[in-house]
Amino acid sequence: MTKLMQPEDPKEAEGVLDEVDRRSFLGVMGASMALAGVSTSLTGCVRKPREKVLAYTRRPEDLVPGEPRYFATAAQLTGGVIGLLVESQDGRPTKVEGNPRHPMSLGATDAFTQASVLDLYDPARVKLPRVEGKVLPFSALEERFEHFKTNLGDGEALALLIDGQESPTLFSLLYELRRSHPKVKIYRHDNACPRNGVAGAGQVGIRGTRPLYALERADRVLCLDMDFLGVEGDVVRNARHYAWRRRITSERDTMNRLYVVEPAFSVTGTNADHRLRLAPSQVGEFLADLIGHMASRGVNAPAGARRPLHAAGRRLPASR
Amino acid sequence: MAVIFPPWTNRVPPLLALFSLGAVVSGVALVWYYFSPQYTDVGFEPTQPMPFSHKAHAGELGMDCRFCHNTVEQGAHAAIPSTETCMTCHASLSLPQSVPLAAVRMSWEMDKPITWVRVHQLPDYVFFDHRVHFAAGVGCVSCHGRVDEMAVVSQAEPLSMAWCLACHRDATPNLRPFSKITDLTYDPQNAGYDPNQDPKRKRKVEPPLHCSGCHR
Repeated sequence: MTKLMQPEDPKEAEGVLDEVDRRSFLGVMGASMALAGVSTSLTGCVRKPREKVLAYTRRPEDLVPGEPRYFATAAQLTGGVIGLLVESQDGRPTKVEGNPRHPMSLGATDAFTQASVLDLYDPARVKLPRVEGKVLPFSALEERFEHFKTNLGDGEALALLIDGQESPTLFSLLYELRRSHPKVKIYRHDNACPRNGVAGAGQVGIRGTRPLYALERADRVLCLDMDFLGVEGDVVRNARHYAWRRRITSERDTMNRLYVVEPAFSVTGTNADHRLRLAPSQVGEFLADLIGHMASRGVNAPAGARRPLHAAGRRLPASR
Repeated sequence: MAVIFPPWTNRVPPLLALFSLGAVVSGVALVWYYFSPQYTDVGFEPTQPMPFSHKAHAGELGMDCRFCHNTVEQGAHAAIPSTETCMTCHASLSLPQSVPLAAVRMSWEMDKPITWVRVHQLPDYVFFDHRVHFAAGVGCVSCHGRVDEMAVVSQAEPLSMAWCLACHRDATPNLRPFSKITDLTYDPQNAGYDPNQDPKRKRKVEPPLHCSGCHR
């Protein structure tokens, strides 16, 4: 840890690195105090310690030392992309905030993105590619790739494992790869990726898309076992839009209403106007019954579900 | 019966009182004088890693301060120029074997910064911003002295809190026209400059006097 810390923060590492036992510490203390006393009484010299100033050899354009610079970037989190502004102090990122001009951020971030600035100082962060367990420079990796490319054939021997990326550039590259090497296997694995959402959207709409909720226009929101205000993707945007519709600024403004059916506590559930606790196995039945109810106006749900369902069923058909 | 305290001991208490009073007064006076930045800091002239002469550059050549310290208008720091700034001229102006310039050439070729020793050093608990002082029309010379006459830069002013406050209480003597900020030879008193009559000054200079103005 100390070894890893040293290049990042040598000042902090110094204290950790020095293994000073009590005896030598007291010895040094005594000696330095005596010296300080002597030098003070003899010369009256109590000047501050000497500081070094290390100027750039080539200062980046537009950089004013000591002034923060902001970089617009984006991060992917639980299947959604969020636009960010990262503050950089003299080349070191210090703060991550939402980009107000990005539709998925609207100037805000969530806790994960706020904490992500620490990732940049993580001693275990991957800095160089690793090939067969060995850390190699990028130039070596390029050589490997060249070698690899010539021996790839139809891609039979190649399998790719990627996380829940949403990047169109990556998708187009993967598409190209699959076209030139048809037998390449591509696996996606990401627990946080809204796979069911993507699959559902594929059934009703265009394949490969994922749902995007227009909460800023919804008067009644029914949420079945989904934490759209908590952790399940696009949270920042959802929370903002949801909150907009609960803000009354004039007499004509109305508030939205949130109905939540869920098996466990979630942030969305705690925000609900009507919350129904239901086993996961029964949520599907609830939905089927709700649809039936909306069609026929008859209530056919588990006993405890009647009141909130009734409330939801009465109002939902009236609104979009 | 022997006399335990001879008569002269009667004078001991007043003498002792006088002596301790003198000790306290001289102690205070010594600390007052010798511990003050006026004594400890003014004239601080550290040896720099290379013999850069402000006298030659700012004085004899008459270069503007901002040619090198160009961030003074935009930032809190009037940054030490990058090696690139030196090389802008010296790549073609100096002889390749020039000894005084070896450190600059080395820095340029090895992409390693030159390690200057800081001369004007404020405590960490003070916030100082060059930008606002520049915008107020305080000249460089007010704090840094006649740098154009210094072959080796030394600290000209104490940079103590009393010294800062003296100007913050009445800044008028240190204000000058915006065109003369980097002119180290200009003297607003001799020139009869009145900041209140300057049409280029859009607002009155009102330096903060409250603690958090500088101790943020």
